[in-house]
Amino acid sequence: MSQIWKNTRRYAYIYFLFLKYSLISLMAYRINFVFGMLVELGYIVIKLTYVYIVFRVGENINGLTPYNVTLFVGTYIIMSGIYSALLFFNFIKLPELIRTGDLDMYITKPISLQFITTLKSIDISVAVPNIIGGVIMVAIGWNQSHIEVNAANVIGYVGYLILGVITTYSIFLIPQMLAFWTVKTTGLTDLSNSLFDFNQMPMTIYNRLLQRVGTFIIPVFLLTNYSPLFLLHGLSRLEMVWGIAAPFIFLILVRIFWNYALRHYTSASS
Amino acid sequence: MRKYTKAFTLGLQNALEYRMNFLLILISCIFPILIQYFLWTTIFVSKGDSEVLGYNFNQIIVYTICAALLSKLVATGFEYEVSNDVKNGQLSKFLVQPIGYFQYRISSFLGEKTPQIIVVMLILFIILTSLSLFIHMETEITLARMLMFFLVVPISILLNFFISYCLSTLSFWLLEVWGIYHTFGLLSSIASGGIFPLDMFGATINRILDFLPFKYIVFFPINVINGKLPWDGIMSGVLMQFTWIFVLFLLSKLLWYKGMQRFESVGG
Repeated sequence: MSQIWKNTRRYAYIYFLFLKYSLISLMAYRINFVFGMLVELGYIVIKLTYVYIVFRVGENINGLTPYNVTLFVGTYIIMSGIYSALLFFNFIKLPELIRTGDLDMYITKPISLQFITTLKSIDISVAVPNIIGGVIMVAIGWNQSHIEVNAANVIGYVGYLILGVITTYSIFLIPQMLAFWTVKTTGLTDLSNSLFDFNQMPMTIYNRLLQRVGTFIIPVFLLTNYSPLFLLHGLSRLEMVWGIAAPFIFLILVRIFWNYALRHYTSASS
Repeated sequence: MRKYTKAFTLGLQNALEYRMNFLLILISCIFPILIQYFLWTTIFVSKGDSEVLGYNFNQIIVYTICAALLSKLVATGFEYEVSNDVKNGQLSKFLVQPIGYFQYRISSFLGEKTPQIIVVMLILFIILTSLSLFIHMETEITLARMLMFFLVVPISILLNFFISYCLSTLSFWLLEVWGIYHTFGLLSSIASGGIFPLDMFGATINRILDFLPFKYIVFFPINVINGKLPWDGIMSGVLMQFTWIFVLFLLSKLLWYKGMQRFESVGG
């Protein structure tokens, strides 16, 4: 037990170092920091146009008021911020590491290979506007949907958000790992990342088949839909349990797949 | 003239070389179209009206498909190359040789767009004719309108070229510009009607957009084909397109003149 505790502390410390170095390099290239925020603001405006149109239509959408929709889109914006700040840049670099053989460098390090290659780069600039904007939207949506602010609601909302991050990690890492076989994955990356955008609108607008596929097979709807659905009492008991179990199931699957894929690594050049 | 035909051919070859890339870009349109399809289906079912914000269901779906494809077609990208030329001093290569930078850029851009225009037009032609054959459209997509559309789209592409060409002069004043270009692209995709039809945004926003050239890039050509604009409206729209092209042409001349005075040819 103490061994696990020691290991966790060690990895937490290393993650803190990743964060520190990312911040240092951001400060060195300040213009990139500003541009990162600027571009994300542009994306937020695009997401807001959807909300604006929903308000212009002014009607309930499948029982959701425009303010309910704001709650969903706010959560989606927060998750976009977390995904692009903590994970995205690591994931797109992975095929590059495999192609050039630079993965060798990391293999020799006395630390989990999956940990260092998938979590090393952190870019705070993209998170700042998304998290500020998203939290404001969630607050407005929460308030105008007349949802009580109590411990159970806050824990449920934040809990499903954190579980969403774990699911995000799993389902967007899998396509990148195909690079162990195919080397280049650009097309696939674009395609799998556009799956993320299905959360642009509440999952209830899709037909039953898509909802099932997006919940159980490729669980994209678990990323940002379960937090607001929990608040709006839109989750059945089965869905609540699945929302908690699925992130761990997929995380274990990714771990198994990682170990399997690594055996196909042949290095390059040299 | 021959050197510019060469630049045109280079652009054309470039587009043909990276054809898979463009096809993938077109395929990636499917998801936003799907999301909007489900959004509008739900809105129309929930509301129970035949019209929402001035559009019936078929019209909005046709709009979504056309807008997604058109905004990929009109997209530029040479502004990044221009700022690289300025930053690395490559621009001086053009200054000492008997070749006009503007003529070079526009010929290579048009060369790159030519095969893309053909592909996108073909796709749209197939989609629109099969839609009007299989589902009853409130507004007829007539052959005459389709032909007019095919004439208007190249003008839109040209208009977007001039917007980007003006924007590209920013690199004379700023060392790093990618964030501004990228954000500008995102905002212009909204302002040109690439995501939702502009008339859905309400009167106030449209009053602002009326003063800007963006609506003539995507929104106007689609209104030509979906029958929302009467013929005299189309004619005055085309006139506005040419007016904007002329204005932006003059502006780009001015900006390039001012920019060249600051150009230092670093590295080169």
